[in-house]
Amino acid sequence: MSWDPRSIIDLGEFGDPFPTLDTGVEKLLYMAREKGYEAQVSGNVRLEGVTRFAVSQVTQHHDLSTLSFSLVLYKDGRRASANTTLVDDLVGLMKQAEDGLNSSPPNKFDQGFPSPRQSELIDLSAKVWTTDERADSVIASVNAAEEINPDVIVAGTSSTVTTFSRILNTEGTDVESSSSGNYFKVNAIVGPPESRGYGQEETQWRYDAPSFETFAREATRTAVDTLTLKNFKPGEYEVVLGPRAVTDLMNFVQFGTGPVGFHEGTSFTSDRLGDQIFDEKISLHDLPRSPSKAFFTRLFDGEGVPTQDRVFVHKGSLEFIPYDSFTAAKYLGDKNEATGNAGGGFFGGAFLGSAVMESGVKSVREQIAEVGDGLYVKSFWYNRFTDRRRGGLTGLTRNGLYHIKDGELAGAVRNLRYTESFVRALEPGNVISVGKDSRMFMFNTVPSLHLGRYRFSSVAHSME
Amino acid sequence: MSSIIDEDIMAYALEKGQSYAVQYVDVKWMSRDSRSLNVKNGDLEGNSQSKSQGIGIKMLVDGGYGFAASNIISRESIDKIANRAFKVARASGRTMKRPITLAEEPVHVDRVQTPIRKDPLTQPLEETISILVDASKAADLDDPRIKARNAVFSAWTDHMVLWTSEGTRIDQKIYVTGGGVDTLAVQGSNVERRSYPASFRGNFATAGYEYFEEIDLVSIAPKATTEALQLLEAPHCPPRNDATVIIKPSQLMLQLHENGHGFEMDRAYDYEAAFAGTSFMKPHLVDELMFGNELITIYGDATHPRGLGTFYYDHEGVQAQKTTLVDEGRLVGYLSSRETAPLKGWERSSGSARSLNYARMPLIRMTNINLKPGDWSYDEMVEDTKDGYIFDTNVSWSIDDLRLSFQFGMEIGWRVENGEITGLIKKPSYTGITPQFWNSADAVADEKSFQMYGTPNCGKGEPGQVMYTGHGASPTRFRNVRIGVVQE
Ligand SMILES: [Zn+2]
Repeated sequence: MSWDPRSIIDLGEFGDPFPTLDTGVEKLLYMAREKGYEAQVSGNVRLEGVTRFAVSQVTQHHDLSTLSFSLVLYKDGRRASANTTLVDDLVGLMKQAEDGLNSSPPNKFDQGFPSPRQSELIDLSAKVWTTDERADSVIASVNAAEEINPDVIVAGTSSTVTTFSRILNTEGTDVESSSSGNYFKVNAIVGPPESRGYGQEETQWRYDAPSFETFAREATRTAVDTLTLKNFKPGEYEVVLGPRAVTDLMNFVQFGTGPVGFHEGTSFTSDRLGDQIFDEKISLHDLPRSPSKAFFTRLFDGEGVPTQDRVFVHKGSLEFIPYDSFTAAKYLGDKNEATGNAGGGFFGGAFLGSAVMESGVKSVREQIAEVGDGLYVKSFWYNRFTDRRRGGLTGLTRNGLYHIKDGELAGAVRNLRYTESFVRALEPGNVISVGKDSRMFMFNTVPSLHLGRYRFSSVAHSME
Repeated sequence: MSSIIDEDIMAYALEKGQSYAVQYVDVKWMSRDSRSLNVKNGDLEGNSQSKSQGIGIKMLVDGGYGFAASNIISRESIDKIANRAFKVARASGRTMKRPITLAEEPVHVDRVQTPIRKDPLTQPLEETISILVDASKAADLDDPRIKARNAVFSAWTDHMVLWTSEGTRIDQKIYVTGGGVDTLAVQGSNVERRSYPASFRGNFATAGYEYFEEIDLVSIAPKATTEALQLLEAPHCPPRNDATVIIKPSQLMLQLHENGHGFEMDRAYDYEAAFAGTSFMKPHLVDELMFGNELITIYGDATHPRGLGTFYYDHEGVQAQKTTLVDEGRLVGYLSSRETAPLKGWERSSGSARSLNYARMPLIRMTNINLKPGDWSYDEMVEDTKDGYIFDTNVSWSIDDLRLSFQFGMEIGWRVENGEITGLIKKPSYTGITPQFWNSADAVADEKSFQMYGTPNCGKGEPGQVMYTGHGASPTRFRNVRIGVVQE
């Protein structure tokens, strides 16, 4: 018996969106056909519950449900798109897209919508996390944090998201996909206003809730540790990056691997498909159909093309560039070379959103034990490209930077800014080991990494 | 097509909200209409329009906030939203150790909108597309190093109807228009991009289509192409620790933006600790801390004509204001909301709470964070510079969670020697510590070279809220700046 993507929506709680959704998408496709257009239509449901807490209490509580439609029209190389949440004005949506199409000059690369492809339906649903359970997670976190330090200020987020999409096009595609997932994060602050310690733990989760108490205690311990700081000079250090730091670097690897940058020459991937870019210990999979491994999962992409689990970096060598149907037509000459990575909407581009790094055999403790003199980075913050072509980034350490001396943590260090390229950081020979314990984040699931050197450029969290 | 919410529905929703045991309730209907066009190398690669509309109910129950929203606007749907808002408010209320109290605000009954000459969403699309095609083909030098010439147009309206249990009834429509061009030049692994009038989809203003026409993309596009090619050949920005740098408004605006986050009162009081971070400008430092030297006065000004952060009322129904944040160097104020102003004993919110759309609770957002002009003419400032650099047009930005350690990259720089501009430099970057940096300013140019820029993409909050803010400045000279941090 195959999975029904519709079973993910609790009709009693949110009302039944399907009659409106089905009538809507079918009507739009019918109208488009009648008018002689090729069309891609989607109906989307998004349910979101977000409980934010700060100063040890709930500060914001969103509860959202959205039904929206999007329509892309195509005729003879001309294309336009429109989307709306005005669910009872689909004639208006059609008119807007039609006006757009009639004003668009043809694009010589555009081949229209991808041909239909079927694929197996897989259950991508997560445990339902209710409003009250989320409020309870806040109370549990605050109580656990206060066990470690009674004056701790606790903040964080407990949230849950469910999405459903039905996508149809005039080529014959008619597919459905749904997915859900949860997120928990806890921050701890201790100490006087002028010199405070900060800690944080977070994870995305699907089936088993993390222990909120364990996370809260761990964040509070980090905050207490970082009350007293050693000052380190900028420079190159041997590092162990915890999973929360690795996820940030991987986000840039993934989002730097798009088709436009690859072909225009602005990406670290440009001219390097098939090259050994990273150390052979680095293997990366994109697993949108593996809900136990990756958080961002979907059966079909934004154009209704089936997603696919695949390797994109094999033993350090870059094996794969994602395409949507437009970039496939423009750069490869065939819209059906689309890889199932489309963002959706109008020429949305393509991206790798479900990366999983192959893990190694060492725990973070064991990796730290192998460092003579270096730094342990729990997490990075505010990372930005400085040079896309070389994978150059700048960013900061946050929520836990420690000195490692003779294989042991030897006190917290004042936060540093890094200016480093992920290509250089992960290059052959610089990856000493990959950790064994992975954590699931929004766009990737990654373990810790032990790197030979990492370049820090200035001191942060300092008035001087 | 219903373009504005029925008053009966607003009344029903407010009444429904008030039927629960609430201390305060507001009903916010918002409608966002937008249009976005992208042309690359003469080909249209994006023509999309979007409408989002819905209703949200916010309640204060037992000192805790609850919010629920939906895009289905019917009595039945409103019953569901009100019930869910109450449920989540009560769940929040259980956790409250310090119940929320709201700063007083006069009751406003008003209808307002951005003054425009031409509605950017009803202009014929063909006309805009043909301008973009012309702009992306301007200065077609047939040079193989040019990989892309982009021209873009964006516009949106945010229409809000806000009714509160205190009697406020506001109907406000904000118009935003923007556009820009950029050229990408690539030679081997050498990549340069040059944009006008600003990077990342150009510049934006609260204005009508006339603003897009004034930008005049077709005229400015050739300069982007010429400079992108020149930058390929230019020397790198050298690493120096003691440089004199004149920063032009299209970069200084992002410095003001990133430092501006530190004036958000929710950050100063740790409400954003879990995501955006806090601020080094702690509450006890107000009236004490020297943010900069006496040349530096910074306003949060929601009333600046055409600023991208300009409006009449914020999304809590507080009237727009001009707030002094830094007065001749000294920290004197914050951007606040009705919830946060009382934390410092202030009687009124600064009117800075805005939400992305109907489906979000308002957060404290920057308005227009503007640097007060000085008395230098720009030309005299350059002539007065013996050994220095001029930086312009942001491409990269990063700052720590206390808003202290920053690093910026720009598209373009110029070398200044003995008061003369002597050539281009590529990939300029600078880094510093916020109060040190603003204390090192030694010349601020006058009103004549003051320019407003918009950042349309400022992210904050969970669930995420993208907001548009404005930043105005005149070119300003700083001493002892560390530059050239980013090397190959
Ligand atoms: Zn921002």
